[in-house]
Formats: sequence, structure tokens, C-alpha cells
Amino acid sequence: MIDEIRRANRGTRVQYVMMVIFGGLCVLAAFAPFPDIIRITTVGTLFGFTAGLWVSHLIQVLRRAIDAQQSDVQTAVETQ
Amino acid sequence: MTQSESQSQPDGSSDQPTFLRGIEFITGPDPNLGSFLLTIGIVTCVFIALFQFTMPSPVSHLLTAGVITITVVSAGFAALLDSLNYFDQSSDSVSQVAPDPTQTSKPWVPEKRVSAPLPPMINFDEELSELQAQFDGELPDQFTPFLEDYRRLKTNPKNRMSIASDLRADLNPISVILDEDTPEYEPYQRMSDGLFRYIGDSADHLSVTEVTSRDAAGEPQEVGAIAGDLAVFDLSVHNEGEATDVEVIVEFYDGDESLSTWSGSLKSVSPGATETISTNIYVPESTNRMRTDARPA
Repeated sequence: MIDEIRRANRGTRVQYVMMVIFGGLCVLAAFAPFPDIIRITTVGTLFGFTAGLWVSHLIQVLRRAIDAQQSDVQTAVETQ
Repeated sequence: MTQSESQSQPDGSSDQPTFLRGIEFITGPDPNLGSFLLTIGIVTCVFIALFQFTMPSPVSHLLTAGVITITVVSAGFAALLDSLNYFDQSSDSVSQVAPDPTQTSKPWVPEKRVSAPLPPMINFDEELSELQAQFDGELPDQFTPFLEDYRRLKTNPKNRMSIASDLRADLNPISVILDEDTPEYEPYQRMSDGLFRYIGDSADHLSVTEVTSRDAAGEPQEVGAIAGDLAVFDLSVHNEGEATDVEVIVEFYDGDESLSTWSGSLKSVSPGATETISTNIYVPESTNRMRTDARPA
């Protein structure tokens, strides 16, 4: 159980680090002295990566919360 | 992330820097709705400002719309997670890693959060504390089945009647080690009486504790003095059992002859609560006494 929590925490940590990296690159690309078409493409792509990571992270968190609640209900039924 | 990767750093979370532990606060352990929404708001502002100040006109609007969409989706997720009680569970996680309750100083406190409080008549925390003190801080082995069922009673509000019957049976081995003349017998007797009442008629769990009748001027009066008038009645009902809707009945008499009956209701009176209903009732002429009653609706 504790190992699972630790593993989940490490996954969370990796997701946050990747979001920070892609978000930071997005900011850098927005200020980069390149032609507009390249800047727009790069910024759009990097923002897409960042947003995608965030939404997938939220889905994982939601699934974990639902699993935790279902296991609570299961425990309550078993103890009755 | 694979299983082997996670096992390569078995103690990674305990000796990691504070900063790395801190960045998990939004959706990691001990999450908090306030910090979640604040972070989403800050990131939204930063990205909108970035796109508005650095991108040419039509693209900046499109990217801003994308940011706002992600913000709305995140807020939706936050609402869902909040409805699942995901946020602010730090006290629960602490209680979940607590040691075996039989080894703690209060073995009658369950590990799980209690979703519905016990009615006063079957809340034996005080009695068990007394007994524990009288047994020099450690309850004898004969209490073990009682304590197990008592913890079940606290965490299973829907099945309490049958668990209370089990508890009555669990008192038998305890009665063997107690002498009627000893001080330990009194809390035992209270527990036994409480269970007996709880298992019995649920109408006995409700009582009308206070009745006040007032005339049109608001002055408290005896019921005989306001006969033939409309009077204001304040009826206080105390519930010693489970939460229930209550029907309150007032019956007016002339001697033994019933003249009229009034009934009203109180919604969901909590265990141990006293609730008051105030109402106008016409008191029939020739009334010289009244009777009040409360029963489950």
C-alpha cells in the first residue's frame, strides 16, 4: 500500500516536471527571435503538450479518487 | 513509469528535498482545493498574458481560447474531485496509518472516520473509559468481542440494530468477571440498559421535554386558562435514538374525554438533539388538561 502511494507520488512528480519543462519551453519559444510562422507552430505544439499532460494527470487523479472511494464502500460492506 | 524504476528508489519520498515534496501539494498527498484553484488561476493568467503580448492577433485569440477551455475543464475536474471528498483528507490519512486500535490507549475508537454519530443511549465511550481506568488502563480479554462489535457499530450506521444485538450478547462474558458490588458494575449496567432501550421500541427514544403555551398577548398560560382561544404552543422534542422524522401529537381533554387532537412533524431530528416546534393551536372550550407525545413519523 505504502509502495503504491510512493509510486503514485513519483508519477505525479514526473508529470509536474514534464509540465514545467514544456511550459517553460513554450514561454521561451514565444519570446524567441524566429519568424512568426515558426514561433506560432512551436508555441502551439508546446502548449498542446503541456495542456495534454495536465488533463491526463487530472484524469489519473480522478480515477484514483474514484478507486479510493469504491474501496471505502467495499470495506464498509465487508465489515457489516 | 515501470515497476522496476519505482523499486530502484525505495526510500525516495522520505529523503527527497522539501521543494520536490512541496510541488506535489496540488494533486499529490494532502491535496487542497484552495491551492488547486489558485494554481490553475495563476497559470491561466500567465499563459493568457504570454499569448496576448507575444503572438500576432488571430493566433493569440485562438491560444487564449485554448487556455480558457483548459481552465474550465480543470475547474470541472476540481468540482468532481471535491464531490468525491478528495481534498483536505489529511486527518483521515493520519488516522488510516494509525496502529491497531486494540493496541492504542482507546481501543473503542475506530480507524475509519465515523460517518454518523452514535445515539447517546448507545455511546459507551465514557463507560469504557471508566472501566479502563478501573482495570488499571487495560481492559481484560473478555472485552475484545465487545470492542470489535462496538467499533463496527460506530462505522456502520445502516446496520446498527443487528450489531446492537451482537453487543448485548458480547456483554455476557464481561458480566462473568464483574461483581455487582464493585464499582465496575455500574458502567456495565448502564451499557446493558442502553442497549436494551435501543433494541426496544423506537418510540421510546423520543420524548417531549418541554411544552409552553402562550395566549394571544404572548404571556405563558396554563392550558385551562386559554380554553376556547387560539394559543401559541412551543413543543421541544428530544431524540435519544437514531436520526428520524418525528410526529408530535397534542391531545386536549375534558377530564377523561378527548376533545381534539393536533399533530405536526419535525424533519430529521439528529441523535441527541432537541428541536422545538412552534405552532398556533385552537384549544377547545372546556379543556382542562392536555397530553403530548412524540413518535417516529
